[in-house]
Amino acid sequence: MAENPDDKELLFQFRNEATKERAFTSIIKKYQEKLYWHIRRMVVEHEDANDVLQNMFIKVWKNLENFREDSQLYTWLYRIATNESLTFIEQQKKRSSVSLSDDENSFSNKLQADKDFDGNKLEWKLQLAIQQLPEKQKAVFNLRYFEEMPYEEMSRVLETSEGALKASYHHAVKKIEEFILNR
Amino acid sequence: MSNPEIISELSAISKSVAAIPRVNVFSVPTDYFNTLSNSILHTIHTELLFKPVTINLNVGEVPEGYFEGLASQIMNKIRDGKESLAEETKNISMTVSKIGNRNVFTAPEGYFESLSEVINLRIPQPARVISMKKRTSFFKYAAAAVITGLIGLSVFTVLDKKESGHSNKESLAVMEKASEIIKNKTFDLELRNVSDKEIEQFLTESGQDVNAALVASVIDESNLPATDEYLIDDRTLDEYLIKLNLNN
Repeated sequence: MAENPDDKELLFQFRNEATKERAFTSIIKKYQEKLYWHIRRMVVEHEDANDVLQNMFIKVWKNLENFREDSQLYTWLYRIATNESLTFIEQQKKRSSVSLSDDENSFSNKLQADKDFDGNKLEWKLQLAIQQLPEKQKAVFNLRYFEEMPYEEMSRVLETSEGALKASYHHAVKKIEEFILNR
Repeated sequence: MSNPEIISELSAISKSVAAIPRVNVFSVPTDYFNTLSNSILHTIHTELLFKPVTINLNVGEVPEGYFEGLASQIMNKIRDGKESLAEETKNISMTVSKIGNRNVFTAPEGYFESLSEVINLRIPQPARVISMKKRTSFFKYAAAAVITGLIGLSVFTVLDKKESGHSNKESLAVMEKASEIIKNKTFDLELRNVSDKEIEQFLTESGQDVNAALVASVIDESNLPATDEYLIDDRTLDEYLIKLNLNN
């Protein structure tokens, strides 16, 4: 297998029983950091991010054989990662016995509990602001702001139209601005 | 943020937000990404081994080769599929497994670098054992010097052939005292009451070679002074030491 095989080659190797595990390991190593940070910005805590990431890759293992390749591999991976994160957050909400308004702040609480948290720093304020956003809007903002993902690609990840994504991003930025300026 | 289109889009919406430094505020455990793939594969192996094969089972039918492969599947699980600590904990309590084992405590800076040195300093060193055998022939000269010093008189022993002019009365007193020590076998006791400094002082005042009194610590005989520099002649000294039971 080549030093940095492209996705097509990895998919081909994955479908061969003799090289399946090796190909899968390569896929993990190629995308683990990008996917991890995308998940982490959604769920905040490392332990949760790790759980979601591992569950996500297990799903990949089970379903990659049937991947139709009508999108890029990484687009497909991001979709699974985002859906797993949103599912996790929903489950957290259901488990939580507090009211909805309190629950919206639970990820803010987790953020402020981080040992490196510094409320005086703008980058931490930004993270706090992001945690105030609705979950899907949070995903839109993160993918655009941190991952610099084109809207065309994002529409395949989130299965939403480009127009809706642009509007969502615009609203997200405005909300963040208001939060930071008023805090 | 490197994409100019995205930077420009953000600035158009909010200059304030565009001005925020894009810094990753989160940290990740050391080596996390290096071990992640192994951890995921282990989970996959464990899950696959536990899950039955998805097949359509009619009554009385099993997939072809099912039983042939079953034993090796189970053996693989036993051999390779040992639960990691994380898996074990997770199976018992999801809540506890989520806590993780990240170390929350810190040690003072440089603590571990200097620890071995600190411990070594606290370890009591065993007493230095000096072999007496080599010193035997010279120890007796030192012993003789001590014996004469023990008596506490400023005169030298009657056995010193170099000395002259001391009264017989004084010499007799020395002898009597020495005899008493021999009789009562209090040599060790008397020796304990005499310091090295006192021995040195005695020898110096007696015009003797101080170094001779320090022969007990000398291991290499070639470094010792010649025997004729010592206080007492051999024959007399030997007789004395036999009585003291020191002549080994």
